[in-house]
Amino acid sequence: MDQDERRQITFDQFMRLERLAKWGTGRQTKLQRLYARWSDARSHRAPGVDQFSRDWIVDARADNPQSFVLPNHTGYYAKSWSSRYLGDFPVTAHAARCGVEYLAARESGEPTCHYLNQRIDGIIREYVRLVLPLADGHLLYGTRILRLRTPPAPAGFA
Amino acid sequence: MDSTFVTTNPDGSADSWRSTDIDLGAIWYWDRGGVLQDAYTLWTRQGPPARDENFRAALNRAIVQRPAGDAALTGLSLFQVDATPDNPFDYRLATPAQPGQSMKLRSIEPPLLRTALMADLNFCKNAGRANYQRITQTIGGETDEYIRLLLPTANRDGAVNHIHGLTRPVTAAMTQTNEMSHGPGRTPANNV
Repeated sequence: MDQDERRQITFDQFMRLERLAKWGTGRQTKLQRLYARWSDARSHRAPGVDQFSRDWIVDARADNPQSFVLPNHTGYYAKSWSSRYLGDFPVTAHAARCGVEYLAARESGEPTCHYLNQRIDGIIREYVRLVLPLADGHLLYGTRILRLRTPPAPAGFA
Repeated sequence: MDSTFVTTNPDGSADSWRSTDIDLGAIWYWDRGGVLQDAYTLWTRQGPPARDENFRAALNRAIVQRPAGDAALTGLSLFQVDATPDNPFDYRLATPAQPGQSMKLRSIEPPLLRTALMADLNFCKNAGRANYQRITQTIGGETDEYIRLLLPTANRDGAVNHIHGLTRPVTAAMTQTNEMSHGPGRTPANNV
């Protein structure tokens, strides 16, 4: 059976997870670097969308989260979903929940962190996600995969 | 799908909200002769999705016609959501007991409950499909377990603008099996 666990974690918990990921290396994770860039760009208001790569943007200007768009998104379930509506994503329940979480992040105007643990269509994914508000209803998001397991290829496939 | 939302509170405790989708065909088994089955039957006969004004009247009649003291009414809760706004935070929830006192979803606390409810209602509105689930929520250390049916209804143009929710407690038979989603063909009684 498909499973979808979505755990909203505090920013402190998120930072603890990220520190553990690169413990002893003196380096930062991709999400720590993303947060640092966002934090530097934020002075008294949310940073503009043009300050970041399209790869990390959610266009969350619509009122209905099903109409949110990820301008440049390649995923595990739908290989390329760039510039298409979230509501058309093939894993509908996951998309609906993502949409509402993005909407909540937009409304709060604060960094939002989630730990997600999913099994959908045989693909197991465990990851941390950071969502940061930008100006004009856009969001910045990044994920760090903790575990990924895809089903074995059917017999006869190389 | 089995879905869980969890939030950690400042004191370290956690609130959780877990839903398990149940196949709608199983409503004829788990809610046979009950209000949820009646509501679902009315909804399918009128649509789907049914026209809101017609369904609302038919549902009221179906419930009123049940004799006082009918076991199916025990623990039954109903609510209606005006899902006309695009933004789920602005959906308005009302109960038949206080029809004039609706509340916006953005005022629902805690945020865990609000997020879970908004996700399901927004999905139900956009898909135009009924949703039958078993829900277990633990909030502030208190656990509540119930069955919930969501039925989207439409305006004259066919656009979903309301969602009717019905909940009832989980029965003893349901707590004895994890095979709920498959309905009668897979229940322990029929599985021998």
